[in-house]
Amino acid sequence: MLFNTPQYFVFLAATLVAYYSLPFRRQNVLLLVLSYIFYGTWDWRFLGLLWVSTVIDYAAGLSIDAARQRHRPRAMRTALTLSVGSQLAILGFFKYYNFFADSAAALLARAGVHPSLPLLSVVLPVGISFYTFQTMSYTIDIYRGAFAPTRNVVDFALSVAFFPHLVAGPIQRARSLIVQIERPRPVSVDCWERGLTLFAIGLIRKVAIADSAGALADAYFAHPASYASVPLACGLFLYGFQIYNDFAGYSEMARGSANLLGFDLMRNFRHPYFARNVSDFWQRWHISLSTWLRDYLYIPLGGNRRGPLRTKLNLIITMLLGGLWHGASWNFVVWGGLHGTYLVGYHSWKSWRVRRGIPDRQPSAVASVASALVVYVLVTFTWLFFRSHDTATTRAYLSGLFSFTAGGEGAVVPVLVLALMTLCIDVPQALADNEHMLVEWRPAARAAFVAAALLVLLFSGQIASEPFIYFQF
Amino acid sequence: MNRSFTSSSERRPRLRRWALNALLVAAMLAAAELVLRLDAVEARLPIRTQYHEAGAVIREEKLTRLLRTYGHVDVLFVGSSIVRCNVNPSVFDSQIGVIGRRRTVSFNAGLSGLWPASVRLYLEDLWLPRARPSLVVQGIRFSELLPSDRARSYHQIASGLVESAWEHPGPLGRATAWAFETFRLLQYRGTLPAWLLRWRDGVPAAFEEDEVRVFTDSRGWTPRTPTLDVALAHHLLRDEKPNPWLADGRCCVESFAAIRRSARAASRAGADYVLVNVPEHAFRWSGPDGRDRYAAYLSALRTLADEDGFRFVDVTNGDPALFSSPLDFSDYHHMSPSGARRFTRMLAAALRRSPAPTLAVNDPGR
Repeated sequence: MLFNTPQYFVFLAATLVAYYSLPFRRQNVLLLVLSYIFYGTWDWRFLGLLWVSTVIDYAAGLSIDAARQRHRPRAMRTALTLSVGSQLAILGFFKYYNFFADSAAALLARAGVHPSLPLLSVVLPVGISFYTFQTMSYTIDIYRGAFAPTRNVVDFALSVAFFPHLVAGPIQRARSLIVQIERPRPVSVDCWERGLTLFAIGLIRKVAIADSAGALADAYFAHPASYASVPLACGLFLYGFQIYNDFAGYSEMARGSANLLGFDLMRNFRHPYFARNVSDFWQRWHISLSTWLRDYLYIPLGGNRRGPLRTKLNLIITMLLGGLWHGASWNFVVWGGLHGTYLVGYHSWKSWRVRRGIPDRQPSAVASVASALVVYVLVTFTWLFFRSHDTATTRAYLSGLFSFTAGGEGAVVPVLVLALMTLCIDVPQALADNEHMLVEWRPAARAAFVAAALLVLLFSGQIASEPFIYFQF
Repeated sequence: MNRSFTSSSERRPRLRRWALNALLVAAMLAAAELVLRLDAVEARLPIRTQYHEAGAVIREEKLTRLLRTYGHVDVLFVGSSIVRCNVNPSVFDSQIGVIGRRRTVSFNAGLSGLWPASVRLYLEDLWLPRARPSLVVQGIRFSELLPSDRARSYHQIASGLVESAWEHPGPLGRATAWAFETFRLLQYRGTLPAWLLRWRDGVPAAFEEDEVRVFTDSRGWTPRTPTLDVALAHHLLRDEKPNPWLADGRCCVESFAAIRRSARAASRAGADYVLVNVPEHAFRWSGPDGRDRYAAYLSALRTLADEDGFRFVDVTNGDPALFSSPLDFSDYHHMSPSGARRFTRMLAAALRRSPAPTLAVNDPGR
């Protein structure tokens, strides 16, 4: 059940009606049941896997806490290791087994050994990367003493399965969600205004911008050899619009749905294409993942506390694993590696400036725009490795892109149209520093925006045609 | 109910604000609806998408304008592209002239690639209620009696948003179909991504449907060029074959059933129904047994018409060689403009010949 389908609209409406008529404790039970139904509509067989993950971390949380009460750090470590290890084992098996088996076989074949490693036809359970990371954050936070485990299994199960964020995030920190689950959640008119605004903006991003951009980008990536340099460059920009609006749209619809239920999910995007440097980009793009990687990988690796060389190594490791999180393919690893390299380059440049005693002044408007453009072009170019699912496509695309052959300049038109549509949403949000800027606008301006958005939606009209990109991760 | 809502004194002004907002949005959408109804705006926008077949949208657009001009349509031609290209309503009208006290007005609702089942669907649910003609003339050719890969899939057409409601009417489907047939705002679904896709190769690609809209005249006739000799010189028709034997009626069960349903639908709507053999190039009936094959085909249609009590018209009088000039055709079944003129004149003459009461009964009150 996709967020952009009439089925989901009906599901959400029915959920809201039932939800508002129940007292808070029963609301949690209702949400849990409906979340399982929501997940079951993808593939009911993977509900078992969801339950296994839930039970492991529920038990691990209680065990770590019990061991802490008895001052047994070793038992705490054991429980954490078992929990994190089993979650990673499940994720590794379903997502990475074939990738590693295939890569190992290729590596050994180069050494002259030809092992027969079995490849399995494993279906990737939808949302597994998201809920695995979230449940891992739960046990790690308990181990760190950041909060106490919940003893209510329904509350914990709901924190894992809560349908708005189950299949593609945001990767909510368990503690922030459980706190909301454990308390009554009054739904004010504010919640409705924020929820509907976010949901509508997300729907426009997905249906009107991402799906249109995707249809064009798909053509360029399917036959890169058939196109000249300009259309291929346009293909990269279009994919940039697609993935941003698709995922940001999904996140906004998820957060909007949660708002209608009285929940607040963390913000996942903050206008990433306005970033002034690569580090800034990662503070704006898929924030729930980048902060997860920072808190549970980069900092435990030593962060920037062990000298410049180690900091750079930590950045590269974090970004490589971040790339691999997206999918079992070397292309994602290359993508992550490139971003890691950019981050290392940026931090080196910053250190160089500090060593030279160059003051860290506020850049001029022109410099800000120029640096944002440079980052945007760099990020857009790097999407090539993310989008190409094999190295042959990547090579063909790069070769066509840098052949500098003339022709097809008109392919810029859809890029400009879709850029304008994206800016029409992002600029007002960024200027007001408020995602729900519409709520604050004057009635005529708000009505004009809503009417224009409805027209664009009606003229796009391919509701339910395309799934969200991040569902595959 | 509503235990989760906080009761607040602020809620009422906010609800008023919501109501004001909704009113403003509704007013702006109503204004947009009116703008979309302007002919000048419509002509500059892509073809609407309320029906599965773009051709149906184009012809519905032309029909609406025709009705606005004349107030009535007397003769409606339906069928596949052989009707679309081979019947020129303006020529037909000038041949028929004035019957009674008013000029005859005919309209060509032929749609490309539609076999009899799909023709029936659009006739019954779109053309008859809109045009309310006195006479329905359905054109047919040999191949359309047989199942074919060249025909557009009936099931695909019938799965269209509006068409599916025609096929399986229910309250929700009917309401959806009504909304999509009534409001222009809903009739441009998918046109934005389609317009963007046109720029994929760097130059705005032409929509086939756009060409059809431009080249289709106000009566729904779409001329076809170049002539057959040019097509043959470019070796474009190497895979074409003569028509085989129509051994018995078993192969035509579905087509015959659809034709019967069309005839009954016309009758229910108060119109006469005529089935017309649209001549193909003589090549289709070439070979030593060509005349016999042609006779068998015509005989099957005549039997069908006799059984169901409607008229069958064959302007060739059983002679398959009557249309053999390459200048009359664009390929072996679509006629060139001159061929269409020739056939239309013959058709008008045949329909005027006795018994042709329909063309004399142009009741303005219908």
